[in-house]
Amino acid sequence: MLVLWPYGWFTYNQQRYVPLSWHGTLVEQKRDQSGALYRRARYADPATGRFTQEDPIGLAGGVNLYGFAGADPVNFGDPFGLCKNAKGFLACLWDFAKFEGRGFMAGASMSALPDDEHGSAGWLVGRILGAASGGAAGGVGRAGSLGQAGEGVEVVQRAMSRAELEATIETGLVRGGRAGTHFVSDAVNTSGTRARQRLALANTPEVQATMEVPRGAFSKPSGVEPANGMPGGGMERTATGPVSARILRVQEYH
Amino acid sequence: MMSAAVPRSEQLAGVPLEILVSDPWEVVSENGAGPFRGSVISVAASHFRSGKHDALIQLNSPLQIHGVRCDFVLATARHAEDDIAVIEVGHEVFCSLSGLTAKEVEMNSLASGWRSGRALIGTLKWV
Repeated sequence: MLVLWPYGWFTYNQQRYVPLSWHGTLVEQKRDQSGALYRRARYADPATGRFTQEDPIGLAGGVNLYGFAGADPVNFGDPFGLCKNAKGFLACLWDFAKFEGRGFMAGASMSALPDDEHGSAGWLVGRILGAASGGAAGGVGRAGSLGQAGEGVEVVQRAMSRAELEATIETGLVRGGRAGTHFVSDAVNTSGTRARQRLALANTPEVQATMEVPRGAFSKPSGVEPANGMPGGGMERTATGPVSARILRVQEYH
Repeated sequence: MMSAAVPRSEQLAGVPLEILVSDPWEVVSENGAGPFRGSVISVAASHFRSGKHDALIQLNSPLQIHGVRCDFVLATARHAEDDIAVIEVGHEVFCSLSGLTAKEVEMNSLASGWRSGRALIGTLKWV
């Protein structure tokens, strides 16, 4: 029986490396010489089911920078190497535009984009082709240059849940812009359990996020006292009100 | 005017407070951040820190924390330089909190909240 491997292989002839689809012409038998699948912005390796370069939009596309189609290739595709989508080319274009918009504003809302850059098919296609011609590095360059570190920013860390990380990336604001006191540290422990102990957290965090915030937005460090059955002893800084944040690095706790 | 003869912790009984919850993320997703209104039942020496105080607060409306109805929270100042007993009108204190059921308060089992995973982090404000 012929079984289709969702990342692009027939299970019985994986050794032949025959991908199911191809969008270019400089290859033979729908593959390039390395066996990787060309996805315009980057290459996917069907042997591992992952992209071989980071997501051009960085963490805005999710914590897994190399993941293909949201790790669900049965239900989703990723024709450009830019976003998973099961709704077709236009939906994928729109998703890509949203990612690009977020990158442009370095965390601000897409509504702040110039009107002439909204809903323009030419602009969208141009961004896609630009990403393709520049490859992954080109995409990273554009997104990465938008919130460059400067004198007005500083780097802090926060131990958080994945849901909070997504909200932070989505909004470009610490804690997704939620009300209440924000707390961060200059350096959070690399162990989730230790971070919880030192910062007397209510539960064990899932990720350690390093982010860039406006300099002076947070108070000077204060010592965290024992609470919630945790010994405390860590240092944290607080702020209230919306604080912009650009995620620089994410480490998953295990 | 407060009398100098009455300990500050006793004077705080009945004080109306607002609680704005910052963490955990899931609890805020479920209940919103607040502010949740309540009033101080008592202030006593801290379970966690010598020389500091905890405040037992009764909420005007219960919070659902991990599916448990919490009518009370126990609050202790989170930072070394703070103490719940020094809160003043209009001032805020960043606190570690734990949700408690009416039964746990009745049984004076005030550490049950964090032991049961009902720990919170938030800000108390005397309103």
